[in-house]
Amino acid sequence: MLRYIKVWLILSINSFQTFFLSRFGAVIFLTGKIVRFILYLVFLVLLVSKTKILAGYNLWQVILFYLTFNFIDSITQMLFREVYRFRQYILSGNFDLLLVKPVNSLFRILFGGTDFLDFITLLPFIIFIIIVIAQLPQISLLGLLFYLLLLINAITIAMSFHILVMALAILTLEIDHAIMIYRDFTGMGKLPVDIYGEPLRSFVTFVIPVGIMMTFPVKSLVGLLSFDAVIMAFVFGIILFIVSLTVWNYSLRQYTSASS
Amino acid sequence: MKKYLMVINNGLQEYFTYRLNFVLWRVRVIVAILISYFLWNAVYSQSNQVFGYGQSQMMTYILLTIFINGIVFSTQTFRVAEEINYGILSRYLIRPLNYFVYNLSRDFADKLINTSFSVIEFLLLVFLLKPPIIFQTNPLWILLFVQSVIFAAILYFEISLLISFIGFWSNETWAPRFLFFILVSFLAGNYFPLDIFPPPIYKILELLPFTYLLFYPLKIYIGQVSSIFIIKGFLSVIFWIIALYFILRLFWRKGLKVYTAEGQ
Repeated sequence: MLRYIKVWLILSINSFQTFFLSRFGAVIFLTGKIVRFILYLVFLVLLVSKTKILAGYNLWQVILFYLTFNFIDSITQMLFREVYRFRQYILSGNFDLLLVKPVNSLFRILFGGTDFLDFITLLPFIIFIIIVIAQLPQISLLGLLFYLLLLINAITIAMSFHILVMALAILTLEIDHAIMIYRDFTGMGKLPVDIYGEPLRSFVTFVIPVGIMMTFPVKSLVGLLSFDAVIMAFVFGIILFIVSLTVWNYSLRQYTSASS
Repeated sequence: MKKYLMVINNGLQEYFTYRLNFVLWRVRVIVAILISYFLWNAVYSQSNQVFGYGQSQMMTYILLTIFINGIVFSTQTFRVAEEINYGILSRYLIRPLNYFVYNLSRDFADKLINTSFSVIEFLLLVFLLKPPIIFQTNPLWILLFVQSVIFAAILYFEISLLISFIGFWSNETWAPRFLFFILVSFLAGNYFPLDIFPPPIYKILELLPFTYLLFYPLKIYIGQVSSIFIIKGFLSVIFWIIALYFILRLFWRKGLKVYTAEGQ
């Protein structure tokens, strides 16, 4: 375990050094993300201030949905950045070089490019989330605990999807669009999934579990999620993780190292 | 003329070669529209009138952004930056063709295929979601709408090309384009009509070219505008097209002076 933390730190420091190679680009990218976050937040505030309520949620709750989505999205992007480069490893045959190293290849690909630039945006999100939660009445300690556990569950689900996408890359060489479509669908979670009509709502809750990832944590916090639903969310997260590992192992057996 | 028709033909064939890429791209466009659609749908489930828009007006606005995205925002001009950075531009400079017309032809193919798909998707969404939408029947509004869309396409072509010209001075062209894309998405009215902003902010937005890329044509289509709005809008968009034309020429000339065909 300690050895892997050490490896992760070395890889992350290496990854962070690339920031200094293209400072201008990195700063502009970061600015873009912040601008996008602020403009959509302004829009939501304008909208819900006018309507007072959106799909049964008040302004602070809607903001919390939006912040929670941004937090999960940022932490996912920060941790699993290397996945976006995985196709190149397969095409160039460089994946062979990772397979022969004495480090788990899945760990190396998932966490090999942790992007600390995204970490800069994480801290303000955490502060914002605390401020918004403080505005909500009747928050129980159990609700808060479920909120935190469901956040971890959301990150586990996100990790499982990234593993599945990588397995797909080994089997079909397709990754770029698959990961972007995953991201677009999770983008639906910036608002509570209750706003989507059926059958889309069921699709984004259970098939691409945006609802479980993004909406369930806030709903449990404000006491709108049953205990059964919380358990179901954890079971879903665990099963998806096991499935993703099984598919990953299968894809590794199919890997032919054809490009090397 | 024949060579530019060939460029269009090549552009279309390129799309048919990478069909999966294109289909997945269109899925992404639809997902983005669905988020806006359902958001506004939820808003109108509790109120008939929001920010001065009725439900049919807003749904028409949101769904028609698919069409405007296809015809205005589809572009291949981002490739210009790459061509400058990798020295590929030299190939075009020594050929007997006009690089601007070449880019226009490449864009035309892009717009043709994206717009065709956007029309199908629009009809499909209307069929599936059955939203209350406005089918404009007044020939004058339709004519003004078509004209404003043509102006918007020209304007976006110029702005996007200008962003790519950054390639003459820097290798970092994707980051400014990313920022530009985000700004355009909001300031053109992709997610919501711009006049929902408080009047002082809207007045500033009216001065920017982005307003005329999407918000202005859609507002005309809905028919919810005064003649002053139309005249002022057309004058502004014509001003921006002419001004950007001269800025583009200036940057092109200055850029060519520093162009070193690096990478070739």
